[in-house]
Amino acid sequence: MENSLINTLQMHFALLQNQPLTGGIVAKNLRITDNGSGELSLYGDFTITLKVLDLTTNGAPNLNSLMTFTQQVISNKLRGGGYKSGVIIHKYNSLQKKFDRTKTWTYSIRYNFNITVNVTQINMLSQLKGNDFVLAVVDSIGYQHTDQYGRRQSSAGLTQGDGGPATVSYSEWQKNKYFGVHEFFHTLGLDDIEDSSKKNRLMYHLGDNAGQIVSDTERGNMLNFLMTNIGDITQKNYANINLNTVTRLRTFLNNSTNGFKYNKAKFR
Amino acid sequence: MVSNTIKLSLGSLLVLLFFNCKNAEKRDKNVIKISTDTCRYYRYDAGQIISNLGCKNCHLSLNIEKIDDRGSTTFRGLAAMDSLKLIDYAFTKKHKGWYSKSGTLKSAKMDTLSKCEIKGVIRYIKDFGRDIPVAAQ
Ligand SMILES: [Zn+2]
Repeated sequence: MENSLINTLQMHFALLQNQPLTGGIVAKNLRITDNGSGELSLYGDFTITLKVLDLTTNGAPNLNSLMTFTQQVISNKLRGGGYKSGVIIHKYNSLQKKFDRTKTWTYSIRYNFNITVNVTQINMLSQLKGNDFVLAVVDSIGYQHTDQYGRRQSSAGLTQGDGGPATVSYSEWQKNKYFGVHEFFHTLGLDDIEDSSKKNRLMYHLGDNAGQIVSDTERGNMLNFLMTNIGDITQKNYANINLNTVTRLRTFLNNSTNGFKYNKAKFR
Repeated sequence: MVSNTIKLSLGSLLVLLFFNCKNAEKRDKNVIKISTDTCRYYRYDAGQIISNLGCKNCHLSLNIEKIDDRGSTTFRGLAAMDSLKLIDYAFTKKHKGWYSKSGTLKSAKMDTLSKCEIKGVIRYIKDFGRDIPVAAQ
């Protein structure tokens, strides 16, 4: 609670000082319209930044091309806006231009976001801030899970889910260039798919994956996630709250259950 | 520990029985898809239910605190709650009646969830707090 308060204050301070906002999600020119019959349209220019931290022992010579590929795929998959119906939130008061916390309402929401995606490499931990999104590249991941058919599956990447740090094994990433995007989309709130009739989906995470489709629903869910607290749309600009990224990444990497192998000298 | 588990199971059973009786008529028409014996947890399906109900629109999942700066319980806050309390608040009392058939949020159709689906939803919420990593390939 205190953390988000401090973060909000910092954000307002940055805006007052005319300092650029930073973080995984930075939005400008936010705007909302209400058509008066249950449909809200949200507008804004978003910059999503994923920081890539190379923790491999022997270096990752193909990292740049993998990052470029990842940037392009994320951009493509988030393009085109989105629509979600049956969204229950506080009632929007278009006269006062704010959400009324004493009333709830069921809306359809149109997301009209211009999204710019940055995938940038960082070399030092000091370049990672509390509200950044991170993808750590490691040597290997020992964690195994049992799929819904009872088969043991090894891991090419692991992510903590909604807003959390993501990791990918460099050797596996080279075999399948989409793994970086798959992991990052967990950070943006998507779940894994194991249904054998959906092997063509990007979020299908078993060995026989055969495609990279992101459904309209999934895109809508990610756009919804970018504006997690819809009340933020009434500000002109916005950056996501503190996620404790550095501490969470450290705890995640040190958790022996996950079986990460990486160059510890690069992560102090 | 043991007695807690027993209390929990008995409690859940009572709550779910109550829930089931109330919706018995509706359920018969649809033919029960899953019996309790074959109730299996599919993380994806539970996530879809949560997405369709829109739980995360109010209980924000990005937040690392249990309560956000608006004073609402975050998704992490839900995960830290006792399962029984979650079932009771979310499904039995249906959020102070908002989600009941005559409530303001009746369109969310919480009443159509089966026992098994409710169990799945609760497990999904509890797992969120445990930070179980999501595995790829
Ligand atoms: Zn995955």
